Amino acid sequence: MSALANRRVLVVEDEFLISAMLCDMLIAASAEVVGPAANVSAALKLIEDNPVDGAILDMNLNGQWIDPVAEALARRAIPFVFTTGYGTNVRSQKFGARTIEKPYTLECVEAELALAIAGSAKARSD
Amino acid sequence: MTLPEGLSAGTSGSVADGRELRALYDFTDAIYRARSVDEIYSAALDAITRTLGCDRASILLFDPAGVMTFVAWRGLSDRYRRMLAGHTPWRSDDIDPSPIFVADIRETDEPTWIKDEITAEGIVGLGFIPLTLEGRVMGKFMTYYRQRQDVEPHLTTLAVTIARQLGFSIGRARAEASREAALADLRLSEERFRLMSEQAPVMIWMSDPNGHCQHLNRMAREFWGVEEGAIGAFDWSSTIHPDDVEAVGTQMGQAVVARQPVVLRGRYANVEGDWRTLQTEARPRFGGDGTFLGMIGVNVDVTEQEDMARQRELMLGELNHRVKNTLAVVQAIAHQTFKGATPNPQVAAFAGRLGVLAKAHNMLSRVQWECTPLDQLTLEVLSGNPTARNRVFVRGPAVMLQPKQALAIALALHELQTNALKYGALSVEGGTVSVTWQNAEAKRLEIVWRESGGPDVQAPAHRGFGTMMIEQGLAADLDGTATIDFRPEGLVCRIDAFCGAAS
Repeated sequence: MSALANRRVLVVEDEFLISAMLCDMLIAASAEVVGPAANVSAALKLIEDNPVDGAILDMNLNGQWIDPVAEALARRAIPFVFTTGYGTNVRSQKFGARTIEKPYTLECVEAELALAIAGSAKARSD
Repeated sequence: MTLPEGLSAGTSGSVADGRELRALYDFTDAIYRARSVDEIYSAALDAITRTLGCDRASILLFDPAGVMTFVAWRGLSDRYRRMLAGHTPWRSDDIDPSPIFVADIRETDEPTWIKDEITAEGIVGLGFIPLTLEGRVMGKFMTYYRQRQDVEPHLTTLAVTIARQLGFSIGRARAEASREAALADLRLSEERFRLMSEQAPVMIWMSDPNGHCQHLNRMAREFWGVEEGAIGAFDWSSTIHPDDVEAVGTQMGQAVVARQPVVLRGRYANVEGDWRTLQTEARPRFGGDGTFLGMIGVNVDVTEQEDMARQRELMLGELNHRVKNTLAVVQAIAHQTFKGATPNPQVAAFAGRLGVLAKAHNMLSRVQWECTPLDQLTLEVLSGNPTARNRVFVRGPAVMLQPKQALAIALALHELQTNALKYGALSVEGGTVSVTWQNAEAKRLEIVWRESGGPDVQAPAHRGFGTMMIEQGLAADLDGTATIDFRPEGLVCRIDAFCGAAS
């Protein structure tokens, strides 16, 4: 049974093809996809309207940094990971979130997101 | 110095009389006051004519070519001087010769033309008195008599006295002149250096042992807007950017204390108040006795250079980002295109290869597309699969790879690992892989992939894409050879490459 089974995962990614593949990957891992959102405001609305267990955030959406979304998630203590083609970035440190470098494999996304969710659950129970 | 014979008191009849003493005294006084050699010559001619009983006299010196040349005279015609110049009884290397007095030129065996010239000038008797400097002849002075002039010890003594004074004075004047010439040379060379420093297209500065400014060349003064007279009061450290104060102060302070050369960069406010990045190269200065005199340094404004480097870095970062994004899109297209028949081993193989390419890209972008260490690359590529963990042993000396070689080797290692996971040593418990390399010979790199503990190996009926990529693609990229040997006890891949700038 996948570590992401039945988890509600928000997907924020501006590249349609990548977004579609990511959703497929999550569905294959028995997760429930929230979104996908291709920009900050859509992502914020999804967070407002839906319960979310974790999120995969593209760091840069058509030139706009993902920060407001990361902040909204952090306020709600929802774990997330970044994806990026930029390599490790200051945001990774700023939000204490792991970064997955593009292109990525399903195994990689699954492992990193599961780790983030487990870490967050542990932090809550401590 | 002993007095010449005849001037010493007691030799009756040859003691200088009051008139002669007066003349010698005046001579001594005049040459003491003389400001030029001409004044010396003039005083000497005065003394000669006043004491040696002649109304005509001359002074001649060897010129640089060694020709006896008239430098001062009284009562001689141009023709006479022209005709008799160069005529001398001595050479310049004669040592302490004695004066010669010719009572009557017509009684000598000089050539007739000389006798005629002298006679035509109305001269009967002559005196040749050598001028010496440190014993060597540098010239002579001449006395000319209208009548016969027999040798008279008293006159000889007076003549030698005047000659010594004159010779000494000329020597002193020459020494003075050469010292002044040397000083002028020095001033000229100082001026040249000052000009060089002033015109230099870099900032040049000097500080005292406490780090206070002593000298700023024009470019440095213009950078900070410091007047030449105000350099001593200029506090350069107050112009450092607040964020750089600590780093610059520490590095410069350490260099001053340790008396060591230093190279550092920092931002400084120029006269307009703009922040400019200066690269400073400074060295300690020491006096002849080893005392520390402070630092001397050169500042170069590298602001534009740094901006360009930053821009290049930014562009490289952006380019890497786009390449990786494109790889991700390609992966997504493949995913969509081959969707349906899951699990699809071809798509997985494709995604794996794409992933390795992306990994190698990431590594290369981290080192700005410069050289990559082989060991890091190997570990990065092989660490992806959890099954391979603790079962792949990597060992080899430090070797740096060019970007193209790094990409080729990354893809090859991935193919080998994929094969090992599917059919080879990593497909069963206990199987291991060793990856070793050596570059004993410069520019030659030998990498060996050796599997052991796996199932019996059988050579495949046909060579797959992975094998072809290694044996053909890799070999071409590395300018070498690559062979895969399907040995029963385990696959061995040997890569012999022409590359590897040793680190």
